[in-house]
Amino acid sequence: MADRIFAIAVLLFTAAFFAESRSFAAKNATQTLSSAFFPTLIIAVMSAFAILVFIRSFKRPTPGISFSGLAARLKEHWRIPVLFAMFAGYVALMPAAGFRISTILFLLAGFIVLQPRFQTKRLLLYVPLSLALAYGIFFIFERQLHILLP
Amino acid sequence: MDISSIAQAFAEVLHPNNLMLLSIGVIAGIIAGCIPGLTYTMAIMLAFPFTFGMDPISGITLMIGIYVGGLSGGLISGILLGIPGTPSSVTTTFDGYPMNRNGEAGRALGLGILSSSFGTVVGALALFALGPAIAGIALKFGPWEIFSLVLFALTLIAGLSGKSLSKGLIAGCGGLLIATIGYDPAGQLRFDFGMTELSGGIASLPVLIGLFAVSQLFKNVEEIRKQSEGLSKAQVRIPIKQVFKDMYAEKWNALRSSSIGVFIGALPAAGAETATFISYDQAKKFGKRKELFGKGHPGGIVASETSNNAVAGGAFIPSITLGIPGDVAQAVMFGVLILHGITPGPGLFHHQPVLVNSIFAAMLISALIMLLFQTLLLPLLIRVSLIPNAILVPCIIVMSCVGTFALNHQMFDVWCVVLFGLLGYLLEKMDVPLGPVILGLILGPKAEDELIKALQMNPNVGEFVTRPISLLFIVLAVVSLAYSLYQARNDRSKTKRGPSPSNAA
Repeated sequence: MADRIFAIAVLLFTAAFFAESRSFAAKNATQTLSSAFFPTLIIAVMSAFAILVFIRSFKRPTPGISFSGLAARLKEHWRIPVLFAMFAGYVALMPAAGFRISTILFLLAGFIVLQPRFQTKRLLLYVPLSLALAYGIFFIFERQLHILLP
Repeated sequence: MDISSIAQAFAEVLHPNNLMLLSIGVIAGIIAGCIPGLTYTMAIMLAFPFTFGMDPISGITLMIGIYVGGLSGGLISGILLGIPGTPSSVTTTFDGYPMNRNGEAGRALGLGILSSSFGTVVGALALFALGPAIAGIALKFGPWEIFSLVLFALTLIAGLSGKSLSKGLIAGCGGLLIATIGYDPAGQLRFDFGMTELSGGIASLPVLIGLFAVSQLFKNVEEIRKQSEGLSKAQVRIPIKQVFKDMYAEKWNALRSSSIGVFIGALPAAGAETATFISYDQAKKFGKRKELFGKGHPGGIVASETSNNAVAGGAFIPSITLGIPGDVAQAVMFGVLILHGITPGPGLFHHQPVLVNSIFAAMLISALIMLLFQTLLLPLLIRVSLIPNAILVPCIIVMSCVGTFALNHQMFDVWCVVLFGLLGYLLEKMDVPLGPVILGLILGPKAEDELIKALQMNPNVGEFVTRPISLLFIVLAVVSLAYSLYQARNDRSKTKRGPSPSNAA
């Protein structure tokens, strides 16, 4: 099932790129190859292999997990989608709130979410650690190396 | 060979001031190399203003320290965290991280450090002894030869595909396609999908960090409950005897990979990554117990790190002999010389023998300094593995974002890290190898550029097979692909047959 989903996703991806490539200008007098030549070649090879993977997924089915099994796995590894969401939130917040505040919030939330068992006394470590890391990185990069952060 | 200028060069580099600069450079390079997102190129550019007040030898000594340290530094995060610190240490993670997971972190790090030093020394010796000769051969490389070389390197996708050749080829093509986003060599904007951020294309560093670093971090999160067991004392020890034994067993691998590194380093724009992938592939093809590559084979680390660091010596060859810097790092390093009115080029050997020999001396001594510092830091570095993932994962994510942002000061690059991180995690769950994606992304633009240049110079496609060096690489590409297909078929029939009775016993 996973192979089938992968093959379909690849075919959709190549279709989008192929559709976009149709809008490229034709080869002009100075060009030996058109701008679409190289990408079209890659799209053709990629689509051919995706079709092969799709066909093989029926002939040589690989053991996968059912949708209910997937739900159970998500429940077991809930930290992963939560951390991805937090990561995306951190990157979205950075330009608005600035590097220091967004980093302090992300680090603190990350430490709390990722600890195997929640322990309140660990906050005594996590809060100063978040502050120290955020300000430390800011000091080194912006003040010492002159690399401006958001 | 002018012995007096060599002696004078060593005396200059061994002067306490220059020795201190070299040491600072090596440490800075190691730190920049081991933090995902930061690169030695960035460290060299940051150090450049500090060289304004220095004499040429001092300035170039500092830069070489950073360069050599940076090329090696990537192995630390690659082995300890499974996250390549630099693009050229991607292949080190293939076997270094599994060795760490098998409880052999000390052995893997020790072997990586020793291999890095070995590669640097070989590169320096090649620069000194063979520099002008190799430059002569490099001059024969036109766009046909470089395209064929890149094509040969692309066939390595087959070797990196593991169990599923089709998925590996799809991944490689994916990397090639992503590399076409942005402006093509003729100035046509491609695949921007109406987004101005895509007009600059997608840089390889955010993709590398997303695919390898972020996806690896999320895999570590899956095992967060198991990590409370921690490493034992035996696992943080460095087995020095075993490291030297491994190095001796892989001596031909080390020499072959260093030679590949020197040669590819001497080709402008070929890139250290090309050398490491080719060396890894050759080590896999010629090595004993091939089935262990990718699962913790010492030969994988030796091939990757010797090649990686030998590139340093090779890269100086076109820079010094022809005045052609091979990459941004080389260009900045030679900016130090140009600032002082010294022009790199064919005359440099005759007009500035002490300066040229000091480059060689600085590389040799930096190899020793790197070996010393990394060995001293090793017990401390291994303890990074003891830091709980609950603390390590968010910290590395923050550092990766900072390093990526520092590249172009664009939040778009940081968003690429998020998206490719998610993609990398999902691809791994579907047994799609990630190595081919980065290989396609790095080599794609080079392949297209050189193909267009070659056809513009001569539209006759037959030129690719009539030029001997180009033909050689095309033949090697065909042989490499055929061998990978044969190996894949062999592995599939072995899996169908099951273990033999003698193995089962």
